[in-house]
Amino acid sequence: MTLTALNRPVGDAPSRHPVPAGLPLTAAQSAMWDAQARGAACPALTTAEYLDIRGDLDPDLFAQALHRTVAEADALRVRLVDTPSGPRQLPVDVGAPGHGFPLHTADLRGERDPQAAALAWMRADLDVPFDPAAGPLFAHGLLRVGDRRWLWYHRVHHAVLDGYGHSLVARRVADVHTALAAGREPAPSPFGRLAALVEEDTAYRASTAYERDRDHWLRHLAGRPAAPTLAARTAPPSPTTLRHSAHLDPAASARLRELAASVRATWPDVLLAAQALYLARATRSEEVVLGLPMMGRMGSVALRVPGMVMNVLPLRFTVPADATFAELTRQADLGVRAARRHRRYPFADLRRDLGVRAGDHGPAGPPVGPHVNVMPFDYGLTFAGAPSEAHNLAAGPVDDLSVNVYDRADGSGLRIDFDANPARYDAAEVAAHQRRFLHLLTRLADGDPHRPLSQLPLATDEERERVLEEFNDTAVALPPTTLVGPVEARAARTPHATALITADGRQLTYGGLNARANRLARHLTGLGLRPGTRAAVALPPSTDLVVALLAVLKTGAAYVPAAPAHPVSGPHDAAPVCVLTDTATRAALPDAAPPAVVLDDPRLTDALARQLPTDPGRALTPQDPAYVLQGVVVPHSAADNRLRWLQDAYPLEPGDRVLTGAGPGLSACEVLWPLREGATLVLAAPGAHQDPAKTARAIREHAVTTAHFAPSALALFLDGPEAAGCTGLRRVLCSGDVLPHEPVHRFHRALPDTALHHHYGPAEAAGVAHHRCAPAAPGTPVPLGRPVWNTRFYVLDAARQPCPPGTTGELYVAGAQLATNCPQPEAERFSDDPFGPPGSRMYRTGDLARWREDGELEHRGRTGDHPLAP
Amino acid sequence: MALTLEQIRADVADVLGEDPADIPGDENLVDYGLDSVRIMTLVERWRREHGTEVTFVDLAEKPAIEQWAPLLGARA
Repeated sequence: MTLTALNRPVGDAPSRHPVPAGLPLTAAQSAMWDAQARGAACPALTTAEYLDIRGDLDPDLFAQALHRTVAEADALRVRLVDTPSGPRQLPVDVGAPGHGFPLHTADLRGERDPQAAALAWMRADLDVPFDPAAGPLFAHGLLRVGDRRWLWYHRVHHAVLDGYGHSLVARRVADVHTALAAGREPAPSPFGRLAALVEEDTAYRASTAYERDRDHWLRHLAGRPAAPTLAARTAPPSPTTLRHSAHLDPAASARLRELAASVRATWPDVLLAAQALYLARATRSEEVVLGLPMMGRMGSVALRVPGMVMNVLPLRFTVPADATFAELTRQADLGVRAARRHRRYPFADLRRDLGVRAGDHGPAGPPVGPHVNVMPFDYGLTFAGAPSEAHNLAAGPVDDLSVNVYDRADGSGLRIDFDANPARYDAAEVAAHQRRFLHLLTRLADGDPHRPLSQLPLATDEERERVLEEFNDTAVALPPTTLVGPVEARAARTPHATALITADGRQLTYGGLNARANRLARHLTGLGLRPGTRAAVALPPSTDLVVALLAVLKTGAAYVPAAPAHPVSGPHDAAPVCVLTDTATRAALPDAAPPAVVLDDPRLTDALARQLPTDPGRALTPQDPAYVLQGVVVPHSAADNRLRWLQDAYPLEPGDRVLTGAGPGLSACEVLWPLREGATLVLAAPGAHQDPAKTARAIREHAVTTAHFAPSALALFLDGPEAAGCTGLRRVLCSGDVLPHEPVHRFHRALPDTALHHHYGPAEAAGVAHHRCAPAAPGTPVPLGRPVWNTRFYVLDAARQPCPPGTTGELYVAGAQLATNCPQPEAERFSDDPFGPPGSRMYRTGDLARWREDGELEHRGRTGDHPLAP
Repeated sequence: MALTLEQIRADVADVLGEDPADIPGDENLVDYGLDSVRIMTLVERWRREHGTEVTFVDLAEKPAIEQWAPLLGARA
């Protein structure tokens, strides 16, 4: 056969230059060529499907029909070569069946599961890359899987054929086969020529329509948002595609069509709107841009050419939290119509115009997020009376995610494939998104399209149950108590045990410490301290500070630490009754400070000597404030819950020595925990938090087993070479802010046998999450962890609906460790907890987080920030 | 019953959700929002109600009412 069309150049080639052989590539072909040049490879660059043919089929006739169809389709019979004038497509000879025609035939009826064997063969074949320069760039299989059942497999390089092209080929093969079987000459070839396709493409690029379309798209995408992605990580395109197939059941599919008709849209519009809704919710974006693959053949010669024509267009949505689904569907309808008017502008050209940088995922990143490809045709083909069903096997390369929807009349409802880039998604993630999307479609199909979507959850019922209940299954009944009761009990049982070691090595027994605290408490009660009042404490980390803390708690009043840098009474504090201080610190206090109790004043020493050293009587005060940290009021019950959880999670024993946080001031919980458990509290030297060598020396000299650090102090401590010598440490507790991964990595290198625990929580809910840091590769983020006892976390979307695992939302916390009050503006962060028992509250942390599948929380940035790179 | 140009225009306007007066006779209907699903709807409707035998490709190749009229055997 001669292939004159392919050998004839298009347009007037300059006569002085030799005419390059073959034809240039169309824009759509070039996109696939470039994808291959960028490193994508088969099988991702392959499109493939199989037809399940039920009935009697003459395999020889079928092979003839196939050969004849291929001979009619010059667009299929090409190879692609790089030349100095760009890539060209050249004709390739294809032999007859049995003489080199790429048709694999096999009778699999002897296999235990013939269909499974056939599919396994197809998958294996999909992995064999085409050689573009050699060709042919297509292959067939005819696999017999039953006496009256055949699977026809067809795969093609995506630079040669698209999905619509597949349907043209399949229809012609069916028609030719049917004619041959009836002994008729088939009707003339319906196919157009490849040259016409190339010519149309070339003419478009030189037209004013091309300029107009470019202007449209640049205007449309002005101020575009970053491409939305559901992926947890970024990665370049992969050579393979991860596919999950599912069906929306026929009843729900039918209801979706009714829904579309009721809002005067088409069912593909409904699917686009649903995907936009899903993406907007899952990525916390009000604006999302979908990729809309277009068959690109309307009103074109390409309608009859089995070639590669399809284009991808951006479809931009605005999805406010209170939008209705009818509005979103309308956006889809109008958006698709507008896109269709400018459908020919090549996506690759648009990327170039926008200056898209490979690997950039911000505003200069890809212009569109996941693709939604709706294929509304069922082939409904018969082969000499034998009916068939088409099944897609591979739909081409996927940068991120492609949702492919097939409407095929086999009664199984819409088939919805999620094709994902396996470097960005694992199988479980793809399956979860797909399950949720189908769940969302079902809910939309059953709902009123004119109601705001703000109450529509993304999570399935099962996921909602998991994130609200299973991940928060933390309830433990605790007795009502005060914080200091257990300290007094220790003093009574082991009065001679060492309670406290100061930085300069002085020691104090439990009996001695408790007696001093009791005398001071009795004195303070005389000054008016009792439950409901407050006492400020302005002292350096010292024995006096520990005594003062215990004494204030013993009176039932709240302890208000006041570092000299902070005012003793801010505008939000109830005024303290007195301030406990020493001579040196007092000088730095503001004039307006309340009456001072100066602990190193000899007159006070005399007064205390006259007080009884025994435990004063106390009321149980679980709901009364225990301490107030910069205005945040923490009740006894919250601190007690935290200390009991700590002791259960990693029990302190009397032999333990606990170094307090090497920072300014002392945390009440850090002081009280060892004293409640009979261990020894070791006070860090003032300023030690800025001196790693000093900290390390204290740890070694006092045989410290447990140390507290703020995240920043831990990083500093690990800077010193001395840290690695602190091998007596059994555990380090890091509390407060999010812990970066870098110090964790260094920690495990310096102290491989020491456990590192992280406790996340804002001041309003201190220590509410716990994570034991395992050695991890550099760059691995440190999870926030799991909720501690009697604590619940909620990751909520913009509509305050629980996010499913893997989806980032705003982190709320509820439960026993919440503060009872705090100053504005943080006070506005407390609200009723709609998921907890009546009357309970929750606190909006301002952190973004997501649940991992195992129930640990991951930090994802702060609200108002740009979200972390996906 | 044979199709008329008026009926074609009315049916196209219906699937597009537009007023028939806004549907031109000689312009590319794709620019007015006509897509493959809507063309299939028209193919089915006209087959059912008027016994026409046009295919999707026939209509999609030249998507304008005046181009369709002879294919559909329509008179003005």
